[in-house]
Amino acid sequence: MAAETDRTSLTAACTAAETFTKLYYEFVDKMRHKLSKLYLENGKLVWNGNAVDGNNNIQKFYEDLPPSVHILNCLDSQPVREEAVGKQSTIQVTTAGFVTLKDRKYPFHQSFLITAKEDKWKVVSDVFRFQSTPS
Amino acid sequence: MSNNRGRHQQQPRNFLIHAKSDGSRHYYEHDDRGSDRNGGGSGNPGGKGGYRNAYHGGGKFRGGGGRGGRSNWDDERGSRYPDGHWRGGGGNSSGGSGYAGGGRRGGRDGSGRGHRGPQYKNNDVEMSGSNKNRYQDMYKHQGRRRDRGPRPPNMNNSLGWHKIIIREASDLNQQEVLEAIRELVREPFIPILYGLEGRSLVFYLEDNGSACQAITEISRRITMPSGQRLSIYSNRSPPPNRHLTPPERNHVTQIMSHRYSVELKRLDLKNFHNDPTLVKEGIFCPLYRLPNMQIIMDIVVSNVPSVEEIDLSYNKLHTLEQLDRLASACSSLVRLSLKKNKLVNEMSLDKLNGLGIVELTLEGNPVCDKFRDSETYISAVRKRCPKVMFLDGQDLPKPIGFEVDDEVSTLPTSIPQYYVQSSAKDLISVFLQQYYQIFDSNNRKPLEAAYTQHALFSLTCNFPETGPGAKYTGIYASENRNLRRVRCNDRRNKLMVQGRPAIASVISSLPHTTHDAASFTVDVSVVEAQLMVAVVGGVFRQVADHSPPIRFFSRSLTIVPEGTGFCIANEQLYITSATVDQIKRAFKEPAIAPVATSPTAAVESPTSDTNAARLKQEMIVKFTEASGMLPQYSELCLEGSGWDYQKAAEMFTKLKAENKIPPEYFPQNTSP
Repeated sequence: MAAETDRTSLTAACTAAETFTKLYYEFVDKMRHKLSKLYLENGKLVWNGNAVDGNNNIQKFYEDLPPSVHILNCLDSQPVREEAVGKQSTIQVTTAGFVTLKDRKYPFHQSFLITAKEDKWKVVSDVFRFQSTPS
Repeated sequence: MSNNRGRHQQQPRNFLIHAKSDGSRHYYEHDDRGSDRNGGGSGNPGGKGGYRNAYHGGGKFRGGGGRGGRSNWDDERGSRYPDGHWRGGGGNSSGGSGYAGGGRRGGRDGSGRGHRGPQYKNNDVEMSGSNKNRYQDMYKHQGRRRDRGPRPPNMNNSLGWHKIIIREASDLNQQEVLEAIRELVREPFIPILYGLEGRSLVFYLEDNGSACQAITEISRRITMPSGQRLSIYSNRSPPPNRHLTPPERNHVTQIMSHRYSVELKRLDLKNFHNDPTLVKEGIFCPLYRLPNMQIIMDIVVSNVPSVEEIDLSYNKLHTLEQLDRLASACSSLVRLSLKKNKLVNEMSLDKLNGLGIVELTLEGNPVCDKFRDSETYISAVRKRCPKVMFLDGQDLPKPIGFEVDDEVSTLPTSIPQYYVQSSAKDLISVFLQQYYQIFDSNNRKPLEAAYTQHALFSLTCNFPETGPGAKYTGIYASENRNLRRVRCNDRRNKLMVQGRPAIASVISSLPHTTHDAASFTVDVSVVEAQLMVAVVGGVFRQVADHSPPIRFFSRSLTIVPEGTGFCIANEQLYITSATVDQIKRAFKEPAIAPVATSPTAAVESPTSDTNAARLKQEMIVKFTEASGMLPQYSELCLEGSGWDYQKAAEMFTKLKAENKIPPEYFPQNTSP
């Protein structure tokens, strides 16, 4: 079986997550036209159970959403284990906070699976959920 | 000025202070320039009293009106120099500012002293050669230097207008004189409105204190062919104000047409009044004078209404008055540069309202520093010019406007479960059911087998630190690996739980739980040979003696095949309080864990505890029925009264009468 995850990988995962989420939420809130660059071409978004495939479609999906303002309260990241992804550098990032959409504030949590492709981190999977289905 | 009179007596004849009709004062050139500096500005300490008497330093200019007053025509300068600096009064026609003394020194320095010691030694000074001058010569350093401290560099004087006066020059050839001066003076300068004024040749210098200084320094050093020595001195001056005559206007129009590029549709009005042709023609047309701006706009609107780009940089504009005409007349205008002007406040931008420009340069204006951050700056600009996409050379984020129709921005409905592959559904359902069965039991150790050997587990939580919401959250808080809170790498690493034993241990230490499977949302976004990504969220009750809190969790799992089954390789658990909504809906259906007795769950709980718990349950049921509140709030009330039913009932009745019980404590008629 593969060995324990070392400190370097752990630290690298943290740094990558911090940088990535900073960019991501800035784009989602202010520059949605730049979102597609963050996803793999065949990346996947599951937004409250609605699935969207492909980076361009994902960007379009976000562009169609009302303007958003995200506040991030929680952030965590782990390097994905070798038994899952082999040598392919991948990190799992979870975030939580509040998002204001159309003057309503929703608590949300979001889970990313991000992989390295030619020196750039790209999102493989993006799962976004409101904590509670609004009534 | 009355306070000068006494001193006047001590002055050699050369120190004549004339009050001119326009209120400005001419201070005739002479080497004791420093003294006027002392006087300059209020509050000149002047060092010694004696010194002050000896030199008409002190008071002379103190009384000089307008000291410390701000020049209207040069806001920037007014604010730049400390009050009391004689310069503050300078340039004010109201203020009496004949500081020709500055001349030789090229304007004033910050403290108003600005004399240069060594220079005096070999000055060809226009002196009457009296002893008194030498006396002053000797002392001028001491008094001033000492009490004012280090002199600011002369650069401070470089801004503002100076008037250069060449005396008794009416018979001289103007061009020759200018050339002679240029030959001796290293500093470049543009002589504005060069011409005869009485018996003197004058011209103005704008923002060129160093040239002014240099020019006056060479006074008496130039001898014209006629043998006459040029006597040059300078004053501070208000900017010359000349109205454009009609022929001048024509010239201006011509020059503007030369500055217009037809292919680029671009009008270059940069630093307009210093246009070499204008200067040569002796036309002074600064755009910061409103009548001139009006003329210019007239010309633009009537001649080039299809202009696309206008460069108005470096024009010392303090207002954008007249530019509003562009909005209606020049609808093709897309690029505008207002770089390096004197716009001071946000309101000045109002004149840009409605301009359809896409590119704007505002940098170099004092107004730019008035904004808290770039966001406010950008939105202030966009408020007036919503189409701006480039500001000060920067790409702006696309404006998220409010032009969106209501229909377009409805949110997609939430779907509780998603499986990228339907086959995953069964798999995951079984996995979760087994997992939570053990998790909700008293013994979580068997869960160890659910993880890979070196699996990673981390927990984050979001709870208030104090108050009722913080109750029973200690355990979670101690394991909280929220990277936004935990900044130290060591601690971050420590909080990462690695390997089966460690994970089992941490999981076991978490509070007992009861999960509400009906509330679960499941998203399986990736299914591949080697891995599956699943995100599960839902509600659980944290078992506690008093009022068990309802929590919300979300687990992000990366699952890999192992042997005949599956194991978790990465897990991130997030816990927070359930929303009021969720609390209301929680456990409407029978919860799984405590009720369902599975043969494998070995429950050993001491009977006394169970009894007590049962008793409490009964109380809760009764109270719920009686009060009409939801069970968990009945529990809250009972607990608050120490499980004294009577007391709780009284408390409830009292609060209800006072309307202090929140409505969500009761089941709503419309359940979501």
